[in-house]
Amino acid sequence: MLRRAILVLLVLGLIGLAAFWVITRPTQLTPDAIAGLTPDPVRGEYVFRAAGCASCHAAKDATGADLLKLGGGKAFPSEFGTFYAPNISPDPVHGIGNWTAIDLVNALQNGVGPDGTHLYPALPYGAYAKMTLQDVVSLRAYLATLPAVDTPSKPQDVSFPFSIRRALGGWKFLFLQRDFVIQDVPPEAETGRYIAEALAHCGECHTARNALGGLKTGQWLGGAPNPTGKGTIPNITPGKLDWSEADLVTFFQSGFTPEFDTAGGTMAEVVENLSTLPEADLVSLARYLKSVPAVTD
Amino acid sequence: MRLTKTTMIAAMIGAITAGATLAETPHEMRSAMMKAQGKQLGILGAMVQGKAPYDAAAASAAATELDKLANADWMPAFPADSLDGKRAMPEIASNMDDFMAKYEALGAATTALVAVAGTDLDALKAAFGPVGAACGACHKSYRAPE
Ligand code: HEC
Ligand code: HEC
Ligand code: HEC
Repeated sequence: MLRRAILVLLVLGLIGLAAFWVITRPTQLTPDAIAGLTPDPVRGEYVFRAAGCASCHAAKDATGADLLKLGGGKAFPSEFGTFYAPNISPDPVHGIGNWTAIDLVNALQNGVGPDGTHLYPALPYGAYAKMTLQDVVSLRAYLATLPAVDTPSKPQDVSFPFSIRRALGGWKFLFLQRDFVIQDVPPEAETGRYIAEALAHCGECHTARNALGGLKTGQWLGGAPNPTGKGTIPNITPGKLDWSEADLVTFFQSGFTPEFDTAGGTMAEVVENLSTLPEADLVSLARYLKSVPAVTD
Repeated sequence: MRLTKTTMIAAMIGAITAGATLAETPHEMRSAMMKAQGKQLGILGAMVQGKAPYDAAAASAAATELDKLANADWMPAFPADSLDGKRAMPEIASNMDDFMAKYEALGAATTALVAVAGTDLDALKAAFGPVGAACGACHKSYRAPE
């Protein structure tokens, strides 16, 4: 009887282990996935700005031309530990100069480094997974034009069990979503949805997370505690934000709220990025915000 | 002599009363002062954004008022021990030189604004941008969300 029970447990354990192994196995695309795509560095620059790569990978407080020096080092405190943005400049030793386009696709869309290890979702691949392959290929071409920086990347400072990268496979299995969160939007909001959900990752800051760090997509953009300190990142759904479309566009372009307050904290960086986009795209972004389901608190 | 004494006492009472109205928390002082700036900036911003017609006298008046607020002494509202609970970030205390530089940058921008606000709309527009940028630069580094 006991032997039988032990045997059952053993078998169950093995199945569990096998499941863990399968679930946590990094998925990588091979180069044929992007064969035939021609990189467009001009589009790549747009993607770079809208996606806010410099906000994380340039030095803290960098402005102007220094925003193009992606030597990393900026710290991102979270409840799981402190993450440091690595060097993603074209430096072949310390940066990603030797990466191919498919390596970048795998990092940004599958959260997997070229050596097959999982990357932490501090790199917002939950959003970037929704990018088109064409955009990633164009981004790769643009990144290659930026100055090389020879600062070594800092190791991540996260606590057990989050320090086990393999376990991130489980996180992805649970939370990595390639479909848009808001499925039904009017056609004029589709560009805006792509900017918000795939590039500018509004949800990473404005949506609350569960205990495992997955976004509560049922409360999409409904506000969240500020991970870098005090206060609450605001609810920007129509349940709370009553700004007109024109107010929103003005805010994206200048950082001015309707009360003539100016955007602060990390939103100031987002505005710096958004303000470089064409007005028509920002109008579409405003439309998108107006069409997400209202979250009331 | 007697009169001087009375005047002195009156002045003292005045000071105490003034003190009482200022006996708000530093956060409340900051909030009131910031909102007052936002109000003046709003008058100018409406003209800049074409939501209100350009009015040279009103623009001059708002710029002058904003400049007074921006160049007032802010330090009483930012004592080091008040920078932990609300939106003013504790980093202000550890980067006081930079914080002061950002405060002075705003003061310089509003003074430049006063000089041209009454000239014409184009001059106002040109001087308005740097003021907004100066507000934003400080909020970016030193203000947490609500
Ligand atoms: C919110 C901050 C943030 C943003 C925005 C961000 N990254 Fe990162 N990125 C990180 C962090 C943190 C890591 C480290 C992850 C790890 O070590 O597991 C990282 C890792 C990477 C890596 C892997 C580097 C390596 O050596 O393994 C690449 C490549 C990368 N990011 C590129 C980008 C690009 C391109 C963009 C813009 C499309 C971008 N990142 C936007 C924070 C960010
Ligand atoms: C040198 C730094 C600095 C500058 C310059 C600055 N601010 Fe502020 N502002 C702050 C800080 C810090 C807070 C948060 C204060 C608090 O909550 O205790 C704040 C808060 C605010 C608030 C929110 C007030 C509330 O309680 O709702 C408004 C509005 C505001 N600022 C407007 C402005 C405007 C407009 C300008 C430019 C004319 C400006 N600020 C310039 C530092 C600055
Ligand atoms: C890196 C984090 C981050 C990202 C990404 C981000 N935001 Fe924000 N957002 C904030 C913070 C923090 C604030 C509060 C700003 C303040 O205190 O002045 C904010 C404020 C706002 C506000 C003002 C709301 C109010 O009630 O005052 C709007 C609108 C907004 N964000 C829209 C967006 C949109 C749209 C996106 C994506 C395109 C986005 N945000 C991406 C952090 C972020």
